[in-house]
Amino acid sequence: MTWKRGDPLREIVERARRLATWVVPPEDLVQRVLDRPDEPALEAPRASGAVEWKPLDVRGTGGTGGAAAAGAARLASQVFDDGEVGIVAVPPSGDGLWQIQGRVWLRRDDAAVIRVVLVDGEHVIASIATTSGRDFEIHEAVGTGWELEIHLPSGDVLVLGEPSP
Amino acid sequence: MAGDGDRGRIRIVPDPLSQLTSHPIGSSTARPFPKLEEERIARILAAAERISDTELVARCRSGDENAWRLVVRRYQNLVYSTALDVGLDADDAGDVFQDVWLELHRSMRRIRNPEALPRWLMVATRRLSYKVATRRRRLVADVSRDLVDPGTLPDDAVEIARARHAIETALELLGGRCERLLRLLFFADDKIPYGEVSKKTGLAVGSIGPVRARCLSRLRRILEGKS
Repeated sequence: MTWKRGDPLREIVERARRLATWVVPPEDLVQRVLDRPDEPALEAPRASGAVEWKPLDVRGTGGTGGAAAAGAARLASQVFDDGEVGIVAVPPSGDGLWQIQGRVWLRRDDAAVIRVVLVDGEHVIASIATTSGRDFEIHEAVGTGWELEIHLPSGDVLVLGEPSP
Repeated sequence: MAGDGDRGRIRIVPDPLSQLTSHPIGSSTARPFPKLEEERIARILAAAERISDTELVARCRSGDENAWRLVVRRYQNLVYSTALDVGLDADDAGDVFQDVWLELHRSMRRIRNPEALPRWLMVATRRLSYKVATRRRRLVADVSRDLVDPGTLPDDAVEIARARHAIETALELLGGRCERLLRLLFFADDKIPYGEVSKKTGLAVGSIGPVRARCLSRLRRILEGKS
């Protein structure tokens, strides 16, 4: 094949050829995602104008954490104006996934929906709805430095950083 | 170029997204449209392809369903191919494919640099591929926990994927004999002799060179946004 040296078309084709796999997904698979999901796309707390608390008493437990029996379990809790949140986070072990369990208690609005969101940078890894006093559990592949956002019925957002060991 | 009669008039340019049908970008599946309809859709898609990711993301944030569909169509092959590229089988790649779009939808309001959307999608696909592979407890050669760390995705891999995306889209828009010829000449697994190319395209061996040159010229114009 004869190409001019420095030809941008040649460069783009040569680059494109280096990708081993380029496969069109089955059309029925694509059709399943063409309609937007029902789940809400939540604003980042800083952009939404919601009040954001950083927890003051996040701490590791060195392996004494309740529900999670694994040795590296880390506890974090926070009391805020309207209630309290507590989590147990177990770093990846055999399956390579973080396991985060917790519960939010509200003094009022017991039946109101609370959304718990696991965030890694610009990626919302998981988003689950819960209510006051109900356990939530997240089992996800996520890197270090994740944050857990608790979107309260009031519109306020509590942000818990990854608890340190 | 507007003629004299158009001078001073406001030209209303139809929004390509508003005309978008469910016709896929980058699909190699059979097309049910008659030729004229196909050409009209190709023109719409060519115009839509020139809408930046920044604009598409902004439209998605404001709830534009067609913008969402176009984002999916634009990057469907990138996401699916990335999942297969890390070693997943078709079933697992299909699960990852669905999860990636769900994650994109959830994260739409947090994406700071929409022009880096291909990288964002590749990072999400690699991480979710790892999750699916470990959940299935399958041993997959290329699936390691490195996939969870966005820092392990080299810029070069993103650039190669972008190049492939651009070429595939341009080839689709090119269509017909030109698309077949260029795929045979440049993207076949093994080098194909001209005699074989001639059989597969119906071109005389002596015509392959000149037709190739014309097709490359058209491909270049599409890639430069002139067609």
